[in-house]
Amino acid sequence: MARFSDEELKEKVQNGFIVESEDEMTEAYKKALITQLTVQGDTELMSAPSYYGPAKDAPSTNTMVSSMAIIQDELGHANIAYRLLEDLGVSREYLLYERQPHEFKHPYGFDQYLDNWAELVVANGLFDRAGITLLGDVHRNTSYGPLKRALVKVGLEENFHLRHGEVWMRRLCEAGGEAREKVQRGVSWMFPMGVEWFGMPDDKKRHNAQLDFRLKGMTNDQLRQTWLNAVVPLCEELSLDIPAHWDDAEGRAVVDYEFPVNFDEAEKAWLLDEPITWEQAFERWKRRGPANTEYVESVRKGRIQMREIAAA
Amino acid sequence: MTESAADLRSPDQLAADTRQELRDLILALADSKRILGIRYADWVLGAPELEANIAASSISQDEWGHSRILYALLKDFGDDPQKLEHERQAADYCSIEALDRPLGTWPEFVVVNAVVDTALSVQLNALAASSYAPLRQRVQKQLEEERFHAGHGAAWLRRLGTASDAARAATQSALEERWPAVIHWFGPDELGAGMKAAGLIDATGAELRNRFFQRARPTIETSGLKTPRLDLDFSVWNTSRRRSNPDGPDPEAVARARGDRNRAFLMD
Amino acid sequence: MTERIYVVFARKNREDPLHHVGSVHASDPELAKVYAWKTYDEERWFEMVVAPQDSFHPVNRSEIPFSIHRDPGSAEGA
Repeated sequence: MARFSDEELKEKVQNGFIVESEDEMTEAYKKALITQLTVQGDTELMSAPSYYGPAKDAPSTNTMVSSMAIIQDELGHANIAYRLLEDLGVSREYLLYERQPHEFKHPYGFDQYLDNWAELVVANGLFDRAGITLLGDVHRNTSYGPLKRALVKVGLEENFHLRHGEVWMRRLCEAGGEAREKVQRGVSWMFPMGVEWFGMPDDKKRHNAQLDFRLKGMTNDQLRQTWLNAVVPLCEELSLDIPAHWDDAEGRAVVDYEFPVNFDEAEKAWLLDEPITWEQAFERWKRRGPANTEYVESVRKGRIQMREIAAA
Repeated sequence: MTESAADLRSPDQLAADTRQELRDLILALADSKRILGIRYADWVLGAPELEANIAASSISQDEWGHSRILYALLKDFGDDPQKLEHERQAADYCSIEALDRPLGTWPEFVVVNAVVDTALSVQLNALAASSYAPLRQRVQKQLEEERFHAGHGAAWLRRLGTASDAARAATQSALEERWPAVIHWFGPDELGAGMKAAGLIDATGAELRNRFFQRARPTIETSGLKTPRLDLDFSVWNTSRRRSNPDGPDPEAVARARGDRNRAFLMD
Repeated sequence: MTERIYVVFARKNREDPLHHVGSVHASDPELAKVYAWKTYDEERWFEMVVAPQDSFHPVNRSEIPFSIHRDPGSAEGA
């Protein structure tokens, strides 16, 4: 290792150098890459139990197939990230089966229960859109060759999830009545979740190894804006109430409250008039949400059974 | 084998009792696959390794895909697929009894994957040359997908059978438990004789059971497990529902198959 | 359970070359085939094959991305 200094590697990757193996990394590069891949793998993995709640009770055979296909994709994407981590010396066994539930690094949005089919499709429309925004940027910009290649499959499949979400959001809104009400309820708690998803604003962040090493191309604010510019017009078109609007003069979507704000976990409701600091938001994330332990345990059941009977 | 002069295009070309037998068989396959998919889906998150989660998810989708196609075939028999899917009670289900209860452990999953899934495939395979063209044309793709289900079941059965004494014992016990329902599922020896004579299927109950033994026994025995032995008993057998126990699957599985909890969103 | 890493190659059309699509963990080649087929199902492949990762021998480089000779269970968590 350490064929280059950090500064040399930063300059090389900014000029288009693609890293293909460990001996071409610096410690700092490897650390930033491991962090990025862990967040990516954990996010894909924990979306699966979250989606599974409504998927197992999907309204029909067709919808059961489409939602289970999405879960299969997410598990496959988690596998890709964990395999890449394994090639960097991080044990997949440890990542999947040994960590404490609160040590997972997925967004807080996947620590929540999805209550019904409408919430599943809103999650596809809003959370998978966040996933595409982040991973699309990584795909276009990453300096790590193995990840760039792996993201071809991921991008294809995440687009299917997004389409599934948007088509169904539209269908349920057009149906009106309870279907529309449940979509609105889902959007009301998931939209601010998405605003938080992209993390601290640029002016509060001092430096960013992922940007310096070209593990991604866009800043948090740029990514958040990309997501808003897609989600806000969709919600407006479907006449869904969100605390944001499209600003014609600025030519972009604008959030109508000071984020981050307090979240009432029991009611799954945002207190938009109760701003908090980012440190307080991070604390909430680190405490993890109501479904965290259950979700992590759900992906370990068979592994624990196998360990017990294989050792007996 | 896509077109032939002897092809039947419509159930109306069949004698009434044969037509009914064929309809019951398609429904039994459709219901079994619908419930099998639900049983598999219970392990989509909790399989012992990430790749097995992915396989379980994909396999459950395959089964639902097959059931959807089979339900749709029943339209030509005068059934309403929407009603079949969303309005029946547990006691109306014709699914294989071996799937009446959830799969509580991974060895149970593996046994069902290796044995129940194989039984359904043996039955399906007997329709691959059916004179009833709409069915025959849909069976081939299903059989191709089933190859991977069988591969998964056999590999895991071998793994459990050789992992440890406790793993083998758990697997053997799951096998003993589901086995009777599986071998009875092919029905009394002469079941299907009428359909066979009409070229709808190429084997009777006894012949199918034998084919199943031929396929299952080597898989079981090379895994270090024993093929259970028992006598057949059709004294309370319901031919049309292909089962002895009249209750049907557990209420939770039926609620999920019907989509009860998300009925407000049923729009396809 | 003696797990190995299997590398997955596939091609979409007859005239295409095989290319690397990913990898899976499996305890035997039969399971590796099913896992590969089910995990990398983003295309309707004309052909897919799997090979144990440790059967690849780098020719001009010490490490290649899909063939890092490391025991899958041994690494420490980061």
